[in-house]
Amino acid sequence: MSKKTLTLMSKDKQLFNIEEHLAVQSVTIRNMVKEDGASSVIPLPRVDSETLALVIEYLNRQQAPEEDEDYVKKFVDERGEIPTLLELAQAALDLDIKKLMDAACMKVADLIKDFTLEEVREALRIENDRTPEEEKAIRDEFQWAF
Amino acid sequence: MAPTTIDNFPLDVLSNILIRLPAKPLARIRCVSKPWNTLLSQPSFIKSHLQRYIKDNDEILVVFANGFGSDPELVHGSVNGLICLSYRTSNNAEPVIQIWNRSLLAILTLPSYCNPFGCTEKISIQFGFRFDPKTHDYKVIKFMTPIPTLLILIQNSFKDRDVNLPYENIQVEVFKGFLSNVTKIVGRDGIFVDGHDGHLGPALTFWRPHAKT
Repeated sequence: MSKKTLTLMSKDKQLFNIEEHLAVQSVTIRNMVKEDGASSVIPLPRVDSETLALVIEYLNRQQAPEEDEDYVKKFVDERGEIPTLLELAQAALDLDIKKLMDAACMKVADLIKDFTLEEVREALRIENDRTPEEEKAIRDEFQWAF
Repeated sequence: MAPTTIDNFPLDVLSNILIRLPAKPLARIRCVSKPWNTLLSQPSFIKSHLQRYIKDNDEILVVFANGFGSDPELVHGSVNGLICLSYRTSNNAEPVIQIWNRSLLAILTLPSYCNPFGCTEKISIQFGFRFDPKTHDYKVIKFMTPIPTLLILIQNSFKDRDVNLPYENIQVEVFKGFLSNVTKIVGRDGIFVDGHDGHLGPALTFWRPHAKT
């Protein structure tokens, strides 16, 4: 008897197969399977194919439970580029894969915590909408942090 | 439905990242952009940040020691991780009440209030600190003896009411914005658990951790 397989579809319409017993590590997918058997394709409209490939790689890991924490940390560390981590965090959030989400978000937080403001804006592609006066007001208020 | 975004950034992802930052970088990145500052000022974010911090940090919260500073400082209780404390600038001065959020290293000093009885000499003042789960408000109660007095704090501004009320009728103040979850306060005389008042002798002083490090 073959194991049941699910198909996930990325934002860019690529299809990925994964065994159901592995896919249900995602609470989102688990709930879908419970509700309607999830026989059809599961669309993931916020997840691109590169990221979904990573998620599938993570879900397919063969890790003993006691090594799992280390594995997910290493998994995330090896993909230490912020844009990738952000995509991964979003996918893990949408799919409700807690450990992966925690690790990806923690990694980004660790990376940006020593960044300058400019580096944060650059890394997360955020436009500075503050006037120098406004920035100074916050700097003054939170002087101890600078 | 499109997900909520901040600076083209999904809000849920952003919150989940920022919530993992320690107090200092968190304060700094308020400068990143206006929407970020707004997000970081939201009570729900502050609350989640504190809850997370407390879950991950099981350290001794407050250490009391003799001789630190000359004025006695008192802890009046902790609710949801917020700690209410007070100190006097001089023997006859009205106590200054502060609320401490340790995950943000933030101390909120409540506005000063007038004492309806004038001179505080011979008047004993006690404070209570409570949370009203119905309204999600924090309440600081001031008892003055011999005459119980009601002190109402509404959104950061104190209102004195020079009315005499039996204790059971005392309703209280309202203080929104700072939320938290203290698990324990350790004092020389024991452990004060969340939601219970810790009342300490005047010989004990309080170490205020918002000192710059």
